Amino acid sequence: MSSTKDDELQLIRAAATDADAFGQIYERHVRKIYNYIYYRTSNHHEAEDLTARVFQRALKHVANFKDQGVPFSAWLYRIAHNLVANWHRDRSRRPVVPLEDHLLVRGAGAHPELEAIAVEEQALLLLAVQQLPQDRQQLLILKFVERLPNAEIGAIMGRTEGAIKSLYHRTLISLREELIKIEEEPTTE
Amino acid sequence: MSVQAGANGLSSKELELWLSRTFIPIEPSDAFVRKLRARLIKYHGKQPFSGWMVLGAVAMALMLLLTWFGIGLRMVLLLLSLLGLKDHRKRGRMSNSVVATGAIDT
Repeated sequence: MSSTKDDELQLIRAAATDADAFGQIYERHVRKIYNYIYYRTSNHHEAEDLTARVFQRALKHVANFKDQGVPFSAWLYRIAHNLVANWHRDRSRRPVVPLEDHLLVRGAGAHPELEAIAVEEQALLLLAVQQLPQDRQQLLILKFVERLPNAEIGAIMGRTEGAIKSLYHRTLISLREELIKIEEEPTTE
Repeated sequence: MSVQAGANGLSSKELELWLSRTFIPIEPSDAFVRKLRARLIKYHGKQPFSGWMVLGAVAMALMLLLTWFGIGLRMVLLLLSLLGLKDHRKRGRMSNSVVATGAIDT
């Protein structure tokens, strides 16, 4: 575990001057960062664009990275989080696209009716998640997409493990409330 | 797990299960991953000047400036010394002629 961390630190130090070392770091983290941004923006095109920006920024500042016990991935997630927050602010909008591509791909199965219900339920849940404040969305993505432990989520979000547990508990409550609100909204049809 | 009955009666466990089924990792396209890697590696070689490089360039410029200043100063000194020499010779010639003229008068 410690040697893996040491290896990564060596790689990070080398990445400031060595393009191949940076390439290796990129390969290790690109999928995680892409996933995180994809679920925050609900759009493949924006996810690609912002992922590229995250790594360009990382490349520019990798020489300034200091090991303070926080994993390098946390540093990358923070860059991604800031860029996504700016993206939302610049466009003054919340993500409203219900991840259609993603849901359609998953909806193609042997039982179209059951699949259709599942897709509808997923769209409903994603819509409810998108109504939550940014930090709560971030927590859910890190927990369920990246499957990160609370301690690492805390390192990424700059909170203690206990604070993450508490935030998670409150997130589930507000998510349930959002789902109820959506269900109670009169349909336009 | 089903939400057909409504979100009201949904337990935390059911909600967590629903979340874990919905939030599944997505693979970015291979073309995107490859292109971005190539772009980053290309960009890596063209990174703007590092702090040391800027410092080196400033030091070099300062050295060149000082060298040219030194050369310029030497040129000025040479010119002044040539003028001084010329003036000295002229004065020497004048004093010689005064001495010579005085000798005739007496």
